[in-house]
Amino acid sequence: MNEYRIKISVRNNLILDAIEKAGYTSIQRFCRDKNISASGVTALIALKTPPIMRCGSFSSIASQLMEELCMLPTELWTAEQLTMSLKHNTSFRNVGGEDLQLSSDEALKLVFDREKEEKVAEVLDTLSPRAKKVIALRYGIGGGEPLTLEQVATVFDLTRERIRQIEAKAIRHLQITHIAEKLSNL
Amino acid sequence: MFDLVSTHPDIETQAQRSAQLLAAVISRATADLMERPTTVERRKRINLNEDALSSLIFFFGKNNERFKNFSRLIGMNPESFLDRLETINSYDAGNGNKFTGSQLRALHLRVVWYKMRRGAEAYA
Repeated sequence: MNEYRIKISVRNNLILDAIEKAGYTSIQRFCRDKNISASGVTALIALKTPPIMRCGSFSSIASQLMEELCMLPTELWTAEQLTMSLKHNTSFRNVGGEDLQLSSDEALKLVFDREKEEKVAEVLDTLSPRAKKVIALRYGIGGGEPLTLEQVATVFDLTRERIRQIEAKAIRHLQITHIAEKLSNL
Repeated sequence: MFDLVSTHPDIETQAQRSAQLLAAVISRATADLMERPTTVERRKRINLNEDALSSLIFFFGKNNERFKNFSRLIGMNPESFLDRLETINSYDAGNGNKFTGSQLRALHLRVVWYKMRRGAEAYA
């Protein structure tokens, strides 16, 4: 069974939208113009640091950000992010972890689908160009609707039966590709 | 042929088509195992069919990772599938499956032949 490494990044869209509304397309440029630490703002956007410190006051970066954007804290952070960071930083991270866990199902499905397509592309590469095209057309791989034997036969100017034979041979070929692999299994 | 994937509702089109191809590989291998054996094969209880041999290697070979990978990708448990292939025989015809007695008999003959051959190799 393969092991997967999934990178999921969570971002604060409220801050990103606010910066965009202020007329900036780049966080770096915004920070340079407003003289704010870019790494601090990035950490806030990535929810790596909470806007409120343990003492209960806003961090200097968060305060600067609110000042420059002329926005209230509730407009830049959700109530959940603000209240949780007030309790303890670690609880904030724990909740983040749960969110990641939930969304990782979707991410896994995406990875699974992608792996399926990659696997098919990988095994199709072992076929001859003609067999590969026949399989691609018959199953609609790589775009387009799956075609019937008759339609594929028209494309190749061959008979329907010949296309069926090519398809069957190609599918058998996909079972065990290399002769060495075949011999080692005997 | 078996339709293992088209009923999955939430699968993307390309992924579904890829899954259909992977399922076609497995179903073709199974169908090859059910090919009618020749008289010599039946009398001597051996397999001389090259396509069936490829299928046996695909399913039961020492390195059957490809089959396991394909099965996993179409959402099928490879172990239970292999167990079923090993245990199914002609008595199961019409009993919840659409295969005929002769097809299942051919399958059983080939699986038993391959297992005995592998067993003899291991013993030697």
